[in-house]
Amino acid sequence: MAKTYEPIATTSTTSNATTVSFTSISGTYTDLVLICAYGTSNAANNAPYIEYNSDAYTNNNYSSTRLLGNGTTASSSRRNNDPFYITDGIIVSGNVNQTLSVIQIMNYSNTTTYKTTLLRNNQAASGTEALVALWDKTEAISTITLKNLSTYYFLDGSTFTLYGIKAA
Amino acid sequence: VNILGIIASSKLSAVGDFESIATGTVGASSTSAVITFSSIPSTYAHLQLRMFARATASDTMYVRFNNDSGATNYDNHRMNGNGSTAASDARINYSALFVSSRGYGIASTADIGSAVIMDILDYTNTNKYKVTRTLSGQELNTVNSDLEFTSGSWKDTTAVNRIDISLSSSTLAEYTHIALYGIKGA
Repeated sequence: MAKTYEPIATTSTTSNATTVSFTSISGTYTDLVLICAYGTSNAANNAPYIEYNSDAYTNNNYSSTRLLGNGTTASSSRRNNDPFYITDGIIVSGNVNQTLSVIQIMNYSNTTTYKTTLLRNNQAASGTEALVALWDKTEAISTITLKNLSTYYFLDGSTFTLYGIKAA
Repeated sequence: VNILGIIASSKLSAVGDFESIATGTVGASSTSAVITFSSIPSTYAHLQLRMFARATASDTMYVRFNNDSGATNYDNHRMNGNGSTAASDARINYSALFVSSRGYGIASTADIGSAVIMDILDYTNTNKYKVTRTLSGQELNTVNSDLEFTSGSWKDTTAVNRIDISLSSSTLAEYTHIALYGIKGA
């Protein structure tokens, strides 16, 4: 009998990987959950970003709204037609003090509505954050790619696990 | 599991510690005033609602337990961001738990739905009030987008065996999909 909540795939990065991809994702689940524990070589605020089905951010199909607390103030901002950054305001630091991102991809396989994603990011040294993002395409998501800007890369040992949740 | 007034399915046996209890959907070109999960088993430690919700007009979502609409039986605190400012307030002594209520409400824009994940903790415990936490958001690709954290309390010690999900004044719109899951304890 099928499980309701089951792992689909796990990746642990090596050799300064610049991208992490999950491909050929089955359409048999209701939601996807991607749990990321990672650091990157980019010390700036804008950390890795996501592309669905290899749809480049330069096609202007992604937008997001975030809520951030950095230990001093709470703030909110948004992006249109920019990269869909996983973290967008907290610094993603090294392997010892990694960032934890929990990414909820809702109703990912339906072909009638755009895709909404909820994210919770935790970085104990710099802040806590939540985002809601829209990919304005109706196609089912079958590929998730996490990328770094420019020549930045994931620090070795970063882990990414994709789960599927299946409703009755 | 009995679900009222909606197209639904249920699966009462599954493998694992996170189980699907029941799902309510609103079909194409349809609307629904309420999605109800009733006769919820008491065999889990916690419940989780996962929603892709749409409204006929952008609106606050109401969640009620055990069909209780008592005027002062629910409290919540909210923190939201609308893309330009972050804000927080409380709704104390209300008749329902409010979700996506501080910003622009559940999405009604064509092709777009709100995402809502609500955890209902220790829902069968008869010694304390029931506590919830919710993360919800709708990104509309415009300035009218919103993200919200909500803590909630149903001020009743009765075990939760029914959940009603509706909107303040509009109705749930086509393609709404709400799934109830049970999380087992050790």
